[in-house]
Amino acid sequence: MTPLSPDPASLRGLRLFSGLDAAALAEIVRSAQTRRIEKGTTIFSQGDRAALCHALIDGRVKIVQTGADGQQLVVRYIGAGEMFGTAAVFSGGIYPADALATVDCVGVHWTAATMGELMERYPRIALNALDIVGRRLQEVQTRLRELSTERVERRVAHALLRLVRQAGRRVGNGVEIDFPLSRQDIAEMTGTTLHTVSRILSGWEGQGIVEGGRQQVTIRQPHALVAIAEDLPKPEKPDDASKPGGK
Amino acid sequence: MCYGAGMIAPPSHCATAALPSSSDLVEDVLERWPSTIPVFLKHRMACPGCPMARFQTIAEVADDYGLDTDALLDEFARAIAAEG
Repeated sequence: MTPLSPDPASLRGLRLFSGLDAAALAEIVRSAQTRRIEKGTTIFSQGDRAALCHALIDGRVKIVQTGADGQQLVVRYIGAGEMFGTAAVFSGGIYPADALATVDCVGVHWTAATMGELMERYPRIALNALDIVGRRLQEVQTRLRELSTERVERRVAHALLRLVRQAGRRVGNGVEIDFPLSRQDIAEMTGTTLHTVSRILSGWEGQGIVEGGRQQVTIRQPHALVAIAEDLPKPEKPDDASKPGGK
Repeated sequence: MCYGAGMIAPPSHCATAALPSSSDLVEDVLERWPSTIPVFLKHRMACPGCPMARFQTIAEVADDYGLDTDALLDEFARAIAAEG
């Protein structure tokens, strides 16, 4: 993990600091540590004391929680401009999951004490944090409902849609999820097995809904995926009768 | 951090146009003319709040839901006019 010289411009995209002026950003950056993080690095581990608030400037980080039974669940993916490990600092004081760099990253972090001082000095940061935590809580509630009530197929569709929301990119033949994503990753996101995810994705590939390379997923029929996720009724179109699928 | 349309979307004609067109992205239409939301809901379209809304055009979603694009645009225009 190589230290870098901090650059205030790198903080501009962070929602935590939105609405702050250039002088405040300069102070925030002075109090931060910026560093390069090699792919595969564990940035923090589940159960560690939560001593640092992290933000990602560039790259991608996977937050993985391991259950008592040893099963791993990908809690979320962090993209450029997002905070991670911060809620733990201000709640339990223990990181509830591992943070792993899935590609080479540039990260920035503050000590808990520094972030506390910054929040007292700039209450806007605390309000922004509340907004971020509130949105995440909504996501968690949605996901909880999915997990408890929805079929696995819908959970996988929802997982892909969450990734589209975060990292979707329009390409000629559909919407691509713009980072390496394996079937195992999707299994861990949806609390199911690799076998089940493979079966579902192969079915969708057969129907032309998605197209997958080894580490790549492109949604060829965005609406069809939404229809599965939301359990929408099938449109009454003449050419629809021939399409496979159904429940 | 939001990857919403504000960051990455190319300049859309929505910003200046008086009414939605078939090539507009659904999300742009929903943002620029919120009075169209009831039209989407009336047709049981899942577009409001959908992550795909920033990648799909009005013509594409009309087709997805088996609706006539021009008729849908007419409904949008009436909803926008009713709003004043």
